[in-house]
Amino acid sequence: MSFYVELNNVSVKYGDSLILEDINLRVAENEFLGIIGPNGGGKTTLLKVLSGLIKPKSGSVTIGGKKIETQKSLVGYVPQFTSFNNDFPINVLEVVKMGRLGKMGNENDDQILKCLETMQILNLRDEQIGNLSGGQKQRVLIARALVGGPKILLLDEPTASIDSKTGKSVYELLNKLNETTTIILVSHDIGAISRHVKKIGCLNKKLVYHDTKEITKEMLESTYQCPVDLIAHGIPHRVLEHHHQSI
Amino acid sequence: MIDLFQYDFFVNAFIASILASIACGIIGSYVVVKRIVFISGGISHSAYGGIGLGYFLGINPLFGALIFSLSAAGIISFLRTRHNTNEDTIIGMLWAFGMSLGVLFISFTPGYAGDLMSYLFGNILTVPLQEIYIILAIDVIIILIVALFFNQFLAITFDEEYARTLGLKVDLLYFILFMLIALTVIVLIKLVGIILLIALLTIPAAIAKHYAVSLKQLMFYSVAASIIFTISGLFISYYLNLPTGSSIILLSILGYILSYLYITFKNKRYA
Repeated sequence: MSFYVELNNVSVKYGDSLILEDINLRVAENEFLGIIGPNGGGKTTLLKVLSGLIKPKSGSVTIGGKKIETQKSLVGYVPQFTSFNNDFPINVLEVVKMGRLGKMGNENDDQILKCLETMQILNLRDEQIGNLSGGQKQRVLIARALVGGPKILLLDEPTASIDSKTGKSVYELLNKLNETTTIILVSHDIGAISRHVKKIGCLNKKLVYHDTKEITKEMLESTYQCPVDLIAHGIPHRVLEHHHQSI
Repeated sequence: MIDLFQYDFFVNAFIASILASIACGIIGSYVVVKRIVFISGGISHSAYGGIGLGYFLGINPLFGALIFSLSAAGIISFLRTRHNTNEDTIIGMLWAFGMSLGVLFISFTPGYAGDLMSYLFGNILTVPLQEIYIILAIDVIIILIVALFFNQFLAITFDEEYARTLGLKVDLLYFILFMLIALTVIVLIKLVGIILLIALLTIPAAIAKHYAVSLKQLMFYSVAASIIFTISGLFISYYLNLPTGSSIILLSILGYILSYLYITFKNKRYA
């Protein structure tokens, strides 16, 4: 069985305003796709479409050729860690266990502990969620998505509002997970994305995607609709190579 | 103090306070963590329409209140599924609609609606045995449903959107939760009345939240806090000849302030 993700002519409207227009995308198994774009460009909406939270106005979303509605259990969704109440009385283990709700073998504690270990938060399992740092919360949410055994992991701004060192360690974990899982993440942090992902797309209502890892000045300018200075230190068209060497 | 328990009315009030605290502590915990105080206010105040209807038709006003609060809960959970941006405006209307309807029905009713005040501000000392059975039945329903759907309710109140990605029937679960709020409203009407019950629903849970580290613990602490406030309010009102509902609420608010000061002081010392 194959788990490629495919979007065909997907459009999404909120009321009268068009958020996503005619999106076409095919993501192969074990791909690591980063999608960048300005705020309000539809990044989160695209993730919600991919997780089955939002039904598009038109077009189709399939995983392995089957409709997303029937394939929800293959998808692990990692929202921004600001999506819940920080003062909710709940500990890390309880949050992560949530990821197995409605799945077979609800009582599989070994797997839950293994996911905590993978995300390096096993020692925090009894800690209240509100007492964690941003980077720790992010790991908890990734672990929660992982315990469901997803084939595709969707992440919304995984490094927003955490410091760059923590962000780097989150990306390193993602690179490890990517050996067995397809990862699609959205972010406005172009630099961090370009260092770690395999493919890059630009989204601002429309998706510019060339099935490569390069971001060109043209891609960015059509996405942000203004001239963009690439932070490429003298190599304006190739963000990636340069930064790769600097790690 | 012992001889107080020779009076049936006092024993009834004592039992009713404890039973009502169970419903109040469990459901109040959800109301506080999910921050749906306004929704709960809408559900409880619309019940006044049912009280008025009960007087008008000559049936038990609590029965009318049950129908109105359940309907309000149904309407509000339907509104939520429509993602209506005016949700809280409409809840406010529902709130006022119920109250106005109640006043209207009572004005149509001939004669003097004597114990009307007891529905608005509560009078636990007049609770008959039959209503204790009703409260007990509601407690059993609430405990059973919460035990059955504990993890699901935890998921939807903690992170509603994520619960949807898990394929949980979030709208149906909220419908059930709002129905339980409506039932809790009925339990609390006799204790503290329609106007004050939103305070008893939320204050014990708000205090418990200072100390609880899990939802289960929050519920146990809330029930305990609610029992303490209702029982001590009961005694205070009896000995000082004060209205019970107000005594209970003022005591709860005092408890909240003390707990808040204690927590703030403690955190400062260890900060």
